[in-house]
Amino acid sequence: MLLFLMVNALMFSAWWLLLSGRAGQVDGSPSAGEAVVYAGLLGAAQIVLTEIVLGAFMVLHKPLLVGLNLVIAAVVLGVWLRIRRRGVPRAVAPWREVFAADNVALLVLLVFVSTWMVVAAWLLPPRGIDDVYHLPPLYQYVRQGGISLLPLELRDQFALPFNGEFLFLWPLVFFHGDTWIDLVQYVVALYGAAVLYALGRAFQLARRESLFIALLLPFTPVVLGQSGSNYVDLIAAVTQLVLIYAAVRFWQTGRYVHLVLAGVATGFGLGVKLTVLITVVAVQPLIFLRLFRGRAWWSLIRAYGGYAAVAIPFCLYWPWRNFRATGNFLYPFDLGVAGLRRSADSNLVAQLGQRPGPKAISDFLREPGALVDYLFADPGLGSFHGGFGLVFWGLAVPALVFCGFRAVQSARRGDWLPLLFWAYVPVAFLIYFFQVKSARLIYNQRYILAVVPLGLLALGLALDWLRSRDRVAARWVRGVAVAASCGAVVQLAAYDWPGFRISAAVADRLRGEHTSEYRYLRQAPWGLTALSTAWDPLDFLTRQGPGWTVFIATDWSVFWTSPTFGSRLQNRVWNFESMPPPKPDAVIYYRREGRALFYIDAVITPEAVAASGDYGLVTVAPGTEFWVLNELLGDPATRARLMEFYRRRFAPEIRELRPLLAALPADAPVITSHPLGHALRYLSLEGALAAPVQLVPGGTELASARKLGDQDVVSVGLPLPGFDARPAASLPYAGATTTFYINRRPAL
Amino acid sequence: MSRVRKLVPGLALGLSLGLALGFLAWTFLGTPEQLGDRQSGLAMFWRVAPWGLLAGGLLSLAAARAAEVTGAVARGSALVYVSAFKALGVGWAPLLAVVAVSAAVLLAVRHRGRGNGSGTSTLLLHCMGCLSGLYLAFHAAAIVGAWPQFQAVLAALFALVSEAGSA
Repeated sequence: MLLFLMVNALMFSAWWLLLSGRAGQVDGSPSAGEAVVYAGLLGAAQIVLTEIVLGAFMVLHKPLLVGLNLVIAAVVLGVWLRIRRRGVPRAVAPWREVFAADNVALLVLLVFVSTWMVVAAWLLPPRGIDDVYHLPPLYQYVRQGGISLLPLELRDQFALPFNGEFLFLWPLVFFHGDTWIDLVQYVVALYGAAVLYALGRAFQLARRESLFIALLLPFTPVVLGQSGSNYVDLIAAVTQLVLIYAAVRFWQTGRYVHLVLAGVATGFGLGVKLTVLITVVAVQPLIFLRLFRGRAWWSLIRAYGGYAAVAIPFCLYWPWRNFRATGNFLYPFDLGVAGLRRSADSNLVAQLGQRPGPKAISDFLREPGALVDYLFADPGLGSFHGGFGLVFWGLAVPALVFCGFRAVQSARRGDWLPLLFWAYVPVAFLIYFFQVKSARLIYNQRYILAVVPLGLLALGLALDWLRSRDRVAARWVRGVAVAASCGAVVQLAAYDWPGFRISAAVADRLRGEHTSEYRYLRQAPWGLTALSTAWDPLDFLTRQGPGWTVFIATDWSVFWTSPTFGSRLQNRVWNFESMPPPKPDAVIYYRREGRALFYIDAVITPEAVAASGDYGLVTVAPGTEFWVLNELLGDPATRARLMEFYRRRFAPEIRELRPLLAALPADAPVITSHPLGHALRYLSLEGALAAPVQLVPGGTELASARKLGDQDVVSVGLPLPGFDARPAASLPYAGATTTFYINRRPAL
Repeated sequence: MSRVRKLVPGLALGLSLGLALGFLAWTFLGTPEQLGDRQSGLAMFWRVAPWGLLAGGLLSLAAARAAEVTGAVARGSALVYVSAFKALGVGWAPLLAVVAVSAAVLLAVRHRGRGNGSGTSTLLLHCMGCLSGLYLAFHAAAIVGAWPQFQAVLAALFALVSEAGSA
């Protein structure tokens, strides 16, 4: 970890040193804060670009990736050493300039949240629905050492631009594990706060006020939710903020360094998410009008061409790859006059059909009151999908209106920057309402996350203005913002998408019953809970050793695959391999009522696996089965590991069952799909229970018992139909009494 | 144009008073359940708020010659939005708000003319207060509901730190 931090520190500080000596100047002195903004952008762009280059040539390996980045850092440092004029510039404003009780309160809150985020990333798995498409390609790239395209019939989103995800790839390659990837967006949120601080300074906001609004950003509900996820909306929003910042600074100073960095932000952003296009279009007037001022046409074209040329390398790879694979640069979208629409050949459209319902804009025009309801509903609150929070809707919205009025006044005086700048917010909302259907507002609010920092900037400017007229009122407003931030942090504990509840993981660790991080996917939504019963033992059994090749089949909508790779990326997904072994080492099924299993190419049915006799069921839960080759289960090391898994995972059940063992016959095997079967299996493997325990898929107990002929069979929870059953013992379990039956085949 | 400009501060103060009165009436008239539910709460607010705005307008017109006093009253009444806590079941929150506003107004009247803000700043304050108050009424229950889970997180972090300390 220390090495990772040092490599990052070296890379980013190299850019910072270079830029702080050369970048734009505020009041004639080098702006260290400005250099922080641009160093963050260039550092991130460097990481992503090197990953793309190495990945494209199929040599994406840790030594090469780290080495290449260190070489670039060394070159940057070398350039800095040659051109530096003064000593290292001052990076931190004097404490007394930013000291205020509310800033201190927010800093304390930030320390607490940072600790929480680190512990959550350490103990919990990637646990939103990051698996939809953000993570599996990355895991596959690490396993095969290069970039490929995962099957589009599973998710057409695999073909989306991946610059944002490639920031997750950086710790993934470095640690060859998924532990710290959940922290990337949180670091980006902190960086976003630094960018907002710099933007506040660019608008002549006092340091104290700038720090205040910057510290509010990480406590916006959607930012908190996104911070623990592997979605990329936060990365996209912060990139947009950097682009806006560079465009503003270019307008203010006319220096080309800002134009070049606006180009980097444009390219990088378009490679993160196509929604960044809104911001790219929105900043063009700032760039173009500034270029137009006092320049000849040829000079203008040359400078604008330079801006575009800088942008292209950072976003070119993804459309080029998609064009080669699908013949469509923008796959899975088509760009038309109505904006971006999913292609007709998109797999998502094929699976779900075109989602019906009117666009939000038409609903709002038909019923303007719905707009007020939208404001107070705060769509997506309580998840990474949305939730702009009280500070935005309650305080920043009036401040935005206030700044809008002042911008109009400024424009009448001939200063167009505020109007061009603040117009972004209503335009972004308008385009969003034009693109998104009303029913999807609760899922898509994150697309316009970039308006939140601008709202906070407006709040800062309004507070600054208010303070000069009514100091007490300004203090009250700041107090409300701090209280709302505390409330947002409290509410974070109740999030499910993603969850931040660490108590179970901490308790297991302290009791020595920790198995795998995937165990805590039981706190996650939508299929992940059920699948955690398969991924938890898979990860535990394979973490030491070369890993297994695992086949997975579920219904299409919950065909999650990334935890199958394991927390150390030790496994391979059989379905993704071009030349998989004939028999997978392990098989995972997840079936939901009324949904058919989805297969990628090869079909291996649950019935075939059960009938083959080659596999043993390791864990079973309603709908979920985890099978492992008997050959592997026969290995003493794997057997010992499996016992250890059962011991840790089912410790309370094992304790409860021990006194009942005497009541169970030694010669009657236990056949069950009941959760207590795992504890019985442990006791059997340990030797405390003389009879063997056979775990079977739910509903197949009877068929399995019949295969044993006349032998008595023990069942758990229910007697076997058609057998003479008598209760042998009972146990209070999961709020009910579970009875163990001895089933005897009736005499004919 | 200059006449319009002269009207603006009075209009802003009238609007501010109106918002405060409307909000106060809303919290007095609604039950905690009505206030906390967005659909019924907003519908009720739309019914009550215009009357508040009307009363605020009339009050500011009646006191047009005592602009400083009106300003102080409007500014002090920004405290009225704490009555949103009634949505959490704090039934006496509107009464508390009235007491707090009265005290603030008295103080403001005594110290009028000393940084007591302008019509626009007061209106900005009321807009922020009203929107925040409504938002709080609709969402505070979710925050309070998360408190036990947040306590569990605190306890877990504490346990982890204690364990690290004893190791």
